[in-house]
Amino acid sequence: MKIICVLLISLFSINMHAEPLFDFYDNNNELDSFIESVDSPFVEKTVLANTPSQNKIHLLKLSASKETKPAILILGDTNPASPVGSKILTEWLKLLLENKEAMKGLLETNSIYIIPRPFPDSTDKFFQNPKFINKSNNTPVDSDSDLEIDEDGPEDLNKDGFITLMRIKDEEGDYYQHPDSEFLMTKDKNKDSPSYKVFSEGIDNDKDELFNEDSQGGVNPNKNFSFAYPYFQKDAGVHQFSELESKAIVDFAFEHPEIFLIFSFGDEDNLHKPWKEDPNKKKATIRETIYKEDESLFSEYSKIYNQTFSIKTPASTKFNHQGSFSRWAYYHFGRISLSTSPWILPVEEIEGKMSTALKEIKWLEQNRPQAFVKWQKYQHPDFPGKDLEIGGIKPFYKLIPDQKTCLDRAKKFNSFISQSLKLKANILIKEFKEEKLNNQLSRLTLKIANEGLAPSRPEIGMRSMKMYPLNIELKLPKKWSLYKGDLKGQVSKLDVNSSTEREWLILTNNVEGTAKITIKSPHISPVTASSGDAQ
Amino acid sequence: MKILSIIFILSCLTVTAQQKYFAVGTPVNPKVPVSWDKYRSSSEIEKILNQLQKSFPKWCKLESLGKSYGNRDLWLITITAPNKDHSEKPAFWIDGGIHANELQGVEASLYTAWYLLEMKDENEYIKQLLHDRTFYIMPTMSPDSRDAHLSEANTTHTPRTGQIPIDDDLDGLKDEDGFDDINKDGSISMMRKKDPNGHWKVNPSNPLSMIRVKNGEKGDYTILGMEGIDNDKDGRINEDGDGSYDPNRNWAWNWQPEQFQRGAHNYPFSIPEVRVVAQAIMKRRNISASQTYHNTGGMLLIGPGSKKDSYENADMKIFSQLADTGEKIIPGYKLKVVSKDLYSVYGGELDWFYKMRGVFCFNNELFTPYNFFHRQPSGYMAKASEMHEFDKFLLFKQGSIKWQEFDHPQYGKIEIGGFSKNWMRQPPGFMIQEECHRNMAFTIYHASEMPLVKISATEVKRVNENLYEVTITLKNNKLCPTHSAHDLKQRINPPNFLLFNSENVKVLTAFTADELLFRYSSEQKKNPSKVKIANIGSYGTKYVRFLVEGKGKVFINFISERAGKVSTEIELK
Repeated sequence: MKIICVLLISLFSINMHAEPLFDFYDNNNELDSFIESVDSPFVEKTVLANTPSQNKIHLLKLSASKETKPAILILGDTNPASPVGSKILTEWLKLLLENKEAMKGLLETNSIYIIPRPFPDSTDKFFQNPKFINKSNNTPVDSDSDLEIDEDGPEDLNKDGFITLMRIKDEEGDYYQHPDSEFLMTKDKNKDSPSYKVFSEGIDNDKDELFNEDSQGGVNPNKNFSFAYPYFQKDAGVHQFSELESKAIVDFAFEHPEIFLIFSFGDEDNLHKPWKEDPNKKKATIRETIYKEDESLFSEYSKIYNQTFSIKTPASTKFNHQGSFSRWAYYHFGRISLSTSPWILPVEEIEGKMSTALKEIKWLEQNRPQAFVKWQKYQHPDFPGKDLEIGGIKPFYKLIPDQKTCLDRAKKFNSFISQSLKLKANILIKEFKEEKLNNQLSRLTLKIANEGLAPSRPEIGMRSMKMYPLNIELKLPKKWSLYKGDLKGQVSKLDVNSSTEREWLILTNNVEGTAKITIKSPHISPVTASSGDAQ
Repeated sequence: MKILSIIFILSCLTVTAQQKYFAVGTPVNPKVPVSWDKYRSSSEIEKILNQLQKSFPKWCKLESLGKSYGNRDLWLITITAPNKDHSEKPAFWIDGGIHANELQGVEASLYTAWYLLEMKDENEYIKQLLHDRTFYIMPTMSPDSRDAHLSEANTTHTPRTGQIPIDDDLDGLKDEDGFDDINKDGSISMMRKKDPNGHWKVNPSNPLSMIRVKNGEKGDYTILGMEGIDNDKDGRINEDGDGSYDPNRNWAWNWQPEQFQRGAHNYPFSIPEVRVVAQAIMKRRNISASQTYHNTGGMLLIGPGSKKDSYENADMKIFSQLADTGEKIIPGYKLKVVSKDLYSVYGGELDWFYKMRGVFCFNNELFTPYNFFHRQPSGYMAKASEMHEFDKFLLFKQGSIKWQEFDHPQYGKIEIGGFSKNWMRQPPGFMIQEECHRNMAFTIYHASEMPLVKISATEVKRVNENLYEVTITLKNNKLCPTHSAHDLKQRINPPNFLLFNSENVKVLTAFTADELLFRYSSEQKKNPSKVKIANIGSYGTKYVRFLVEGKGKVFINFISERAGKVSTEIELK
């Protein structure tokens, strides 16, 4: 028996190593080694948290100086099953490390925080055999409420190294084979196909008539954030931020008010197609659509993205936004949050009128013929005497790009980020002057303007109270005192190409002096001036 | 040893004989003497809890769940009879002082722990209750602010928050502009300034209070808010005091951010104390009912907190039946629904208990203006005139602060006065014990109505030579079902299970039914020795029939997270 097991394991290994598509990606150990190898004065390395399975959630800070600067936070794969985003980020970092000028250019007025692999326990499952898309981490969950934990996972019954589908001819089944592809099982009726029941490959280990309903681990960390949290879904956790991964990320975020922009790779998109306000939702007590005022920002970032990546026909991405990181980052953290898939299977290369699912299959047939498992009969112990077949599309083949595509995306990503970082507020003190009303009394006048490309904080930043206003601080010479006005004040929001003024009446007590003014906010480079400085 | 025991019993009898008369309802000779006419600091509470642990080591267990932000222990006392492990009995959770200024919830929780332990040997009902049930009692959930309320200058309404410094006004500084006790009396009261064009005047019938003038009427004062100065020179007063988050808006059900719910803090369970408590509750899966004490207003409060949310009708009936008795036990208290009778609350503890744990939870709002003169009040806070009357005739003016003149750095000459922080929301000393006792009595009633499933009958019937029917009757003789309707709908908790274990007897199939004759039964074909029972309802009965082959000993185990574990043995001959 042992010998057979060893043989089988070897066969899997051979099978996996024969697939360069998978080998290109870094498992957690390889990612750790890469990060360990990074030695640059621009990169500060920390570990946000160690997961229960002893994987590290790395945090890299790219910075040209020790002072805190406005920052962008970039997350690798918020789709827990994908290793692609982290690969693009590490390849991008390699490019930056090789090109100091590019690095300096990015960091002149910004810092960059990178969490390359936010959910390492989940992503680790990409590297495990047999291949099976499992987005959950390793938190034990009794997914089927039977007081047993992780007792009914998948089994690779046909020993091909992949968990695919089982289909059983059954009059009560509601699946049919698509007329144009035997690998597409659909609920659309097809008179040339018998009806099938379709299950994930495996055995009903706990005899509850369900298949693979309680496999290893249980929480998808990207369903564990607080916006539109999917209550009662077992893979969403027992509550928002019940998971170490999601909690470590939000705790970090709340400690860093200098973050003004967030980017994440995931299975949601607002870069191919920017978010728009949904007029039907804007009057709800609890708002679940973006603010109209933020639309132009999302559009601008989308333009940059689509130009950089030469996107002509925006992909229609499927996503389940409930409890996701990227929505949380906008709605509950108050930042402009950008997200897109690290790679979308280029269905536009397939001509003809057909469903996206069928186009995906056609693309795979042309480019990755190894992605299919021919339907083959199998004697299944839970279905004695039934006509059961195992086959379908191997997992992950639709999710990951090849090496060349991935490296190309890393190069373009640099251009996207450097252009995106320019889209921010530029606060200037246009005037700060003293006007003597007599020897005792002076009027101080301040005029500030935003000559940048983004407001001082987005509408969500202001409404959510999660981003700071512009704080004005006035310092007077010792012998001066305030007659009217306050030493501290705030400007809630300064839009692009707008300005505002403040005034103070000062008792100067016949003493000459210079007042100082500072405008600051954690996510904006501070500006100072002395009275009399013409700007 | 025997002689010593006899002497001890005789001496007890002598004491009982000497004590010819005793007041019912309170322990006669408490091992831990406590006077229930004062409010205690967190260290004084800790001392009493430790004394209870020492005096009743087999009946209670004191543990610290963790530390507060200010490094105080978050104490939990588990009380139950030593007949079974605490986790094997349906349990009742009680917490107090989540809002630290709402003082008497802590006393009510502590009183409950004290009373149950002290009375178990004097009162058969209490002893049986502890045989059947577990009580998890957390007297104070916000000990840092409890001490801040008692020892620092505050109003009766503060601090509702914890003590983690927060930059409320987003100016880069935390807690830099809170209250200032200008008149140094330990309370934060009102500031007013003489103003010939003001909109307020002194109440002619009570010079301590202020009333707003009518349109066209001349006023004498402008009210300037609560005692404080502009510490950070931004033109505002008291805009960044301690905390500002609300631990009772930080729970996971329907949590909404600050923009929609004041005090929400960063995310559900972002407040360390709340997270610790929620984790402790989730870990204790036998918790079937709960009480979270607040003040004020005399309410047996339930959710939903949001108008867009709802509770299942079947569950509302249970709440309502429990509250019917509650309203009798605590005169002046009424069943109220947060969103319907008060305001919207997102992320409240009581909603989390019901919606995410499937637990029947009440949030008693302790103290009511009804207690002043036993008159039905118009609101949940008394009118100023009524408070003054009570202050005058029962507190002899100890509850108010005379207006006095002070120099204010920003406002010049002002006057400070009004009410002391020591009452209004919380009962004065002479009323504390009754408040605690009546509220405890309601929780005891609620606890006694938690589900408790018993195997009320077992029947073995021979079908043929080697084939038997084994029928088990499961009875829940309590008001609360094993699973709330909401729990069943959302499948929050696992179902109940009836396990059939035997070395020699094999279960061929199993049936469950709601009636004796199995006319409308459902069959469990797969895994029939582990029968799923979704729910046993209010005063409900469930019948389970195993069809088996073989002979020998059989162990029947009923397992329910919320309704207890019971077992029995049968011999098939």
